[in-house]
Amino acid sequence: MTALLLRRSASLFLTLLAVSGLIFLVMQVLPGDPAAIMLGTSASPETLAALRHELGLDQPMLVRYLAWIGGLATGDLGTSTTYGVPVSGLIGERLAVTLPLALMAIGLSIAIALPLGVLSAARRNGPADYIAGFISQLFIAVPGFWVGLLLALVFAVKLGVMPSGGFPGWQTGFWPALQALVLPAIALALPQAGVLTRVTRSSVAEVLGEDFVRTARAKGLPKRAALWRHAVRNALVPVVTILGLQFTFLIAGAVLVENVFNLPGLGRLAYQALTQRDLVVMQDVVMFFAGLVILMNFLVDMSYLLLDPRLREAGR
Amino acid sequence: MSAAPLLSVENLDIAMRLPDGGRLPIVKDFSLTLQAGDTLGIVGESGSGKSLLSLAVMGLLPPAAIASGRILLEGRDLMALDDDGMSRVRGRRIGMIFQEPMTALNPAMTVGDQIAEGLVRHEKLSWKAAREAAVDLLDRVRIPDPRARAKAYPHQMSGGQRQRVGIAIAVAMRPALMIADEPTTALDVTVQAEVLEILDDLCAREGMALMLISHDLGVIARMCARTLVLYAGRRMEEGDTRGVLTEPLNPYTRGLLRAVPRRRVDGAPLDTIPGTVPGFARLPEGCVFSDRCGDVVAACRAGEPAWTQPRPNRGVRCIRAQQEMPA
Ligand SMILES: Nc1ncnc2c1ncn2[C@@H]1O[C@H](COP(=O)(O)OP(=O)(O)OP(=O)(O)O)[C@@H](O)[C@H]1O
Ligand code: SF4
Ligand SMILES: [Mg+2]
Repeated sequence: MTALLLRRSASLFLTLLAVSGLIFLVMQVLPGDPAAIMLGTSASPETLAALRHELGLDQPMLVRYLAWIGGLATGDLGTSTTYGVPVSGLIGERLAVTLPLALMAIGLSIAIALPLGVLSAARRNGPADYIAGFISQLFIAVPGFWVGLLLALVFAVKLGVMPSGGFPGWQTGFWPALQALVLPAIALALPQAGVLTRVTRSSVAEVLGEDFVRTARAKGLPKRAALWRHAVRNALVPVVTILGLQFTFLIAGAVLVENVFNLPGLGRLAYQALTQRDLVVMQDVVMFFAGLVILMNFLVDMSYLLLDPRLREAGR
Repeated sequence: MSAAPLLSVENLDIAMRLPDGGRLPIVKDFSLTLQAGDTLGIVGESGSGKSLLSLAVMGLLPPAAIASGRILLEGRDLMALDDDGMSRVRGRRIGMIFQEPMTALNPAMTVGDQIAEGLVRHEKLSWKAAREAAVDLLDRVRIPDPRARAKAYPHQMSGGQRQRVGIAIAVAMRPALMIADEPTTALDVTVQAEVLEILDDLCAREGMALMLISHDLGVIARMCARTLVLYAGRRMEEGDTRGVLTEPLNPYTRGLLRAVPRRRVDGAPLDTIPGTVPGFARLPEGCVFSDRCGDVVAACRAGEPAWTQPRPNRGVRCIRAQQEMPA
């Protein structure tokens, strides 16, 4: 088990390294010289050369790469060319918006999908199943940003009970800040909840047909207990897998939803960096997203070991 | 004794709902009586309805099955109970052991907890006390080093050990009736004998009645005082095991007996019953065995023979057997 953990951690590290190399290479071939962008078109070749030297852009590629990942390891992510502030601070600030947003969206998605999917599976082909199926199809079919706009229209513009966009910042208080994230989180969560409901339903339905569920019933467990203690517990592996995959879409969704709701999150930072050709920020943010996705996959892998004891030995 | 028998099944019919809306009758006119401590073997070929019968008694028939008739446990009609009521009977009054030890246990739960679970729910033991009881039960089904093995997961055990865990789960609450549906079919021959002995021993010690289901007459002869022969969902013959085996009244029972492998000096080939079990949708007219029976006469096809009791504690379904018996 420990050996397995060590091995997985090593492979996590190697993956991160490989991805950082890939991102670095891609950034090299992107058109645009950060120094030239910073100085504008009227700069003299001398000032340009001086700035290039100051930014280390005149160094060989390998040196620049090593400097970059060295900085990543120590928390020094360089300085934004557009804002002139350290990127680490920028990411930290934006993360305070995106992380709660993502967690709320995931939490909401699970809170909708798990009960709905389990209910669907337990009442297969009954009215509850059809209703749940209709709801999840609806969630899947309707794009998240459109739901976001609709929610904003109803709750913010018409009813005025929710902010329609923008973010007051956590320093203004927990509740107003959280409130600003509720509608965007719902917009992010619904499409994911739709898919997750379907996956939960089919996985639980399959496990419900297994012999060990019948054994559980035979020792006197009522339907509900057999369902939750035995069936759902064994149906979670595919659910967690999809949850991990959805994380990637969540990040993509965050870029969209943060722009729709005008939230100063990481997604908007990435979008701004792209439009303003802030290559330093872009490289760091992309790396940060990639790191999050890889870490999430690692956590999903680890959760398999928790969920299925058979896998603990398989990896020994 | 005037008390109600432990188990009494009266005129049980089980049909399967078909996708096209029709019904396919499987078990018909099934009755049996079991007194406390009785051992009854039910023998029948694959597909004869043995598992459906045992699941009907447990109230765990698949959703597509429709049952009618009465199943009384200690005089109480089980078919009239709702699921919560039946959950108090399952495990506590009736324990069940299943055929497939490889799939019958939850892969994500330690075997100790799977044994303890019923005790926690029904006997209101704390998990600590129930786990302690589970260790004791593992010991009683002769699992070596039970304290350590209680923490094992099913995949860490052999098939024979898992089946013993299955037995431990089923006996945990000392039910009055134990149903074992082909408990050793999936096991190696060497392991079979040991598992049967453990089962036999526990039933005797706890005074549990045993309903043992098997397609193997040898297993039933060893374990059960009474034997019931099932064919295509019908009782063909019932009686004390010795009587049924030495003096079979139904031609199907005779065919089964001829098909039992035994040590032979002459090396003669084993007899088999000609033909195969017909599907339930294509059962012959009259006696369900008439298309394979060597003793068939015209009257056999006229109508399904009734269940008759030529002697006390002996029953048979066969026209010829009735005719040959003195009135
Ligand atoms: N869930 C089901 N859906 C439809 N038909 C079923 C179902 N379960 C059983 N049957 C039918 O009922 C008949 C009896 O099945 P059952 O499982 O009781 O047989 P069995 O005697 O236990 O056989 P085996 O020795 O193979 O376990 C089978 O022939 C099958 O066609
Ligand atoms: S009734 Fe006829 S066909 Fe059926 S078992 Fe008896 S002799 Fe054979
Ligand atoms: Mg069976």
